[in-house]
Amino acid sequence: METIIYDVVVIGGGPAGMAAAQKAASDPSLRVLIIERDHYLGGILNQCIHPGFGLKIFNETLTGPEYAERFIQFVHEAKVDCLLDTMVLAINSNNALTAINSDEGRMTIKFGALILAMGCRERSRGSVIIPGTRPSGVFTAGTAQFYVNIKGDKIGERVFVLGSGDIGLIMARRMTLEGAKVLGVAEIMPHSSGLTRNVVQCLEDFDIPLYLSHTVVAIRGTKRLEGVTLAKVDSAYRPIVGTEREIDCDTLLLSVGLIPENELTRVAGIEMCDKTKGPIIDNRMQTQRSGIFACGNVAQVHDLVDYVTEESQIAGYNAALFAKGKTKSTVAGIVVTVTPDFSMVSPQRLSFIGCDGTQLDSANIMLRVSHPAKSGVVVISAEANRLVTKRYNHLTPGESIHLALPLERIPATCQAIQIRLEVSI
Amino acid sequence: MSRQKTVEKICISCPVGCHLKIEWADESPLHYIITGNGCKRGLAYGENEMRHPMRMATTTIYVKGGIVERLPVKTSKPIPKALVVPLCQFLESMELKAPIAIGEVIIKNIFNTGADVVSCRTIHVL
Repeated sequence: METIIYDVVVIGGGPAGMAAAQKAASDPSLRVLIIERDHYLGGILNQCIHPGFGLKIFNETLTGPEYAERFIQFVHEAKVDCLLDTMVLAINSNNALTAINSDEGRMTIKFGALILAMGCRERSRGSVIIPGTRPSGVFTAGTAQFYVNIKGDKIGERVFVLGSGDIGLIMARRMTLEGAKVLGVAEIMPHSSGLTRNVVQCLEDFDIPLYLSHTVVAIRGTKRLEGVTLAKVDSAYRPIVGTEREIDCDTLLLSVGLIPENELTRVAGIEMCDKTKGPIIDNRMQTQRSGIFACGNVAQVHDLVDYVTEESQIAGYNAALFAKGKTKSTVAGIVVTVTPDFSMVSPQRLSFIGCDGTQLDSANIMLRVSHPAKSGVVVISAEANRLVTKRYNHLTPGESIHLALPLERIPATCQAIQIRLEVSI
Repeated sequence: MSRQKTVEKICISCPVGCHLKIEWADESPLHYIITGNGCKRGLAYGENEMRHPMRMATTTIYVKGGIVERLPVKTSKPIPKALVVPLCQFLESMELKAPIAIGEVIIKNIFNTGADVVSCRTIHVL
């Protein structure tokens, strides 16, 4: 069995993996490898043919494939090696991983530092438990997007969408442009879970109704889907008897959330965060295992690829420092906690010390609110000291909040910082 | 006497999604007062939404002989919203041959809009 040695190994060649690898390889003395299971780099961006990517990173609006191709170019220019069609089977304890492909068979790849960038996958019908038959015509929105945008398949004519996640909204528009009739989008929550702009440009532009506080309670059809039953839900998300209505459709798209793909992480015994469903990470994007970093949707689900790129560059930068062995970076100890007003926070740990032993001056904090608020003040505090207060308007769970936390304001003895939302009048 | 009118629109120029308030008097020529925008793109978006809504259009075209069978394309600039569906229908019957470079102009001045249909991906020969 062949043993391959690299300074930095990145698992996943999507936007996170490419940005991290490019940054790590900007030090020409380091050998960097991306391992990707698909036939090409770019990840999910390849099927996201709509515009809206890159406003922050490139200051222009790009489609997904264009954003991907820029980074594919960067990665090649940075002389990053790529193993395509290759699956990582396990992260071993001795700074090595096991991977497999049909050319080489099983390989052992040793690394100085490892970056987890495996992305996420969609929740499926099984995750939301919809009663009924099991006909064809029930797709997750991203699978439908793959069939339509990459394969060019016609997947259905009368479409209903369950869940108002961004992919569901984007696919409602896409199916309309493909000539299908999109009958509506149902969302169990009283608010949309996608970006507000997607509700406008994907649903309102095409007069597609959005049924808030509604869900699909039954699926009908033997070979092909024949229809679904829509019902209103109460405040505990239970269907209300008597509100059912039948919808005749041959296609149901599910956009009911994303799950970071962390099987490798869990098996490796890396400590996980139950809010993000990703590994616990610090402001250097290091997990609780020294020398193993994580970025992008494997760490927490993002709303914009530009934020993925930014945090992945931090991961790549720090993994490179670690691989050079300037210092053995310690595991970060300051715990970041949020009140129930927020569904997640990233990072969950803070370190004052960078991976090269220098003092860090600032940390990027990402938050999502649990419920919409017309306005609110995000307060970050350490014990009784208010470190940051920032006011926001139109807060919604579908749109993440990003702010900078000046680390020098945190007392040296601090064990934990708290983040809460004060509702302003 | 002229009547004051108001609508609210969410700007889709970027993910911030500013809530625009657009006010105008029912008189000629129409003059719109736009507030709530975070940047100047919001002013242009609000004005366009009232007079002639514009959208970027993206879709795919069938490609023969490439590593994938669909080429993602976009309009080089926003086109009238009413032309987005006809554009997608028009491109539906088209057939291209690999290789195709990113940025390649597939159709110049589509529907006399001044916008080109542009390739969004490099498709190598299989």
